[in-house]
Amino acid sequence: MTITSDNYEQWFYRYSEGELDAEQRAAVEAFAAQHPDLAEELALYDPSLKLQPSAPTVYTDKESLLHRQPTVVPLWRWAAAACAVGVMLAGVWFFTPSGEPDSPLVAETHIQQPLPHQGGEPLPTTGSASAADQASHTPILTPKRPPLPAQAAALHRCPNPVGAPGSKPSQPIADSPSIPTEPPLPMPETPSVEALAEAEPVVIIHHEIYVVANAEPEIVQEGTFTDEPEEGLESLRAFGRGLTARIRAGVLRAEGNARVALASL
Amino acid sequence: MTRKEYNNGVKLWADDVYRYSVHCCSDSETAKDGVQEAFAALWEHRDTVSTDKGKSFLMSVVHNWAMSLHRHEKIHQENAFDLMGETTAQPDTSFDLREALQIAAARLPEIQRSALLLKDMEGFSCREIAEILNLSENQVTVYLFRARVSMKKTLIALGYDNNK
Repeated sequence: MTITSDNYEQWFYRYSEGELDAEQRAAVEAFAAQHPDLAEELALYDPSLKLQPSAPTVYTDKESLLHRQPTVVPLWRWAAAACAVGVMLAGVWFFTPSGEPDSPLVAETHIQQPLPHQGGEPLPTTGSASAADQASHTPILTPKRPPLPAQAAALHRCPNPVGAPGSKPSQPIADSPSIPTEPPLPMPETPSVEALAEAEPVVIIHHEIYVVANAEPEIVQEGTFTDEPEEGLESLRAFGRGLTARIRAGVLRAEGNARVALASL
Repeated sequence: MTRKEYNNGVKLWADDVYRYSVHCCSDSETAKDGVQEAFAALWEHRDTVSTDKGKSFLMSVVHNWAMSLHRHEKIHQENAFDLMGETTAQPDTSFDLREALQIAAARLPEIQRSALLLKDMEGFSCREIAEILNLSENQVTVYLFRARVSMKKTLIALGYDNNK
C-alpha cells in the first residue's frame, strides 16, 4: 500500500505506535522527508499523551441493571386464588336451580311448632323433605328474578304463606317485607350441638334455593352479588354467614349439598 | 450470553460504561440514562451478543445514544475547563497536565474524542473501536492521529509542552 497525502495519517499513526515493520517504517520516513509540512504533524504526535480518568467512576445502581431469576409466586397465592374461585363456583352452583328452570319454589316453611322440639329425631340429610313434611309445608314463592309487577301482585295475593292456622309465626320470615341481611336473629345464645340436633327448624332450605337481589317479601334472605371477584366473594360470604347464623339458631335448616356449600363460605 | 454472563457483565462493565457515558454527555445524571439504555439493549440482544463482545456492544449503544442526544436536543455541554476558551492567553498553572489533557480532549471533535476515550480510558484496540463507532479500522487510526496532534497543539497553546 502506497503512502499518499490522502492516507498518510494512518501510516503516521502506525509508525508512531510502533506497528510497522522495518520496510514500512523506511517508507514513512521517506514520505515525511518529501513532505515537510506533513512531517510537522508527525513530530507533534506524542503517543505518551494519554487521557487518564480523573477519579474512579462507580455506577452505584448496578442492582437495577441485573436480571435475576423470575420470582416464584408463592404457592399460597395460587392456593388462595383457587379457593376463591372454588368458593365462587360453589356459590353459583348453590344458587342455581337444578330442577325445572322456571320453578319458583325455592324454600319451604315449616309450620310446625318451632323450638324446642321434643322428638330428638335426627335432622334429615337428604335433598328433600319427606312427603309428610311436604304436606305440612307451605311453599314460599320466590321468583328467580325480580318479579314483574304482575308477578309481584300475584305473589302478594297468595295467602299468608307462613301464617297458616296452628302455626306460631313469631318469626314470619317469608312474610316480612324487610328482613335485614345481618338480621336481628333470634339467637338467644349459641346453641349447642345437642340443641341444634333437637331443634325443629322453622324453614327448610333445599339446595335449589334461589335468592334475588331485590328486597322482596318472599325471600328468605337477600344478598347482592357482583361480578367483581373480591366484592362478590365478600358479599357471598356475608350471605353465607347470615344463612349459617339462621341455621345455627334453628330457624333454617340446610339440606343435602347446601350444607357443603355453606361450609365453604 | 446467558443470564449469569449478563449479570457478571453488569458487575464488570457498568463502571466503565458509566465513565464513557459521562464523557459523552458531560452530565453524570444524564449519563446514567445512557448506562441503563445500554444494558437494556444488551439484555434484549443477549442471544446474539457473545460475552467477549458485551462491553463493545455496550459502548456502541452509549455512543449512539449520546450522538442521538446531541443531535436532537442540541446538547453540547462542554467541560467546565473549556470556559476559558480562546481568550486564555496565559497558561493557568492552577491545573495539572491531566486536567490540561481533559481540556484539550474536550475541544476535540466528537468522533475524535470518542475514539480517544475508548483507546486511552477503556483500552480498546483500533479494531474494537471501529466496531463500536461503526467505522473502518483505518478511519479510527486517522481519528486517533488527528486527536493526539490536536491535543498537542492545545497543550502548547496552554503553555504545557511535556517535551520541554
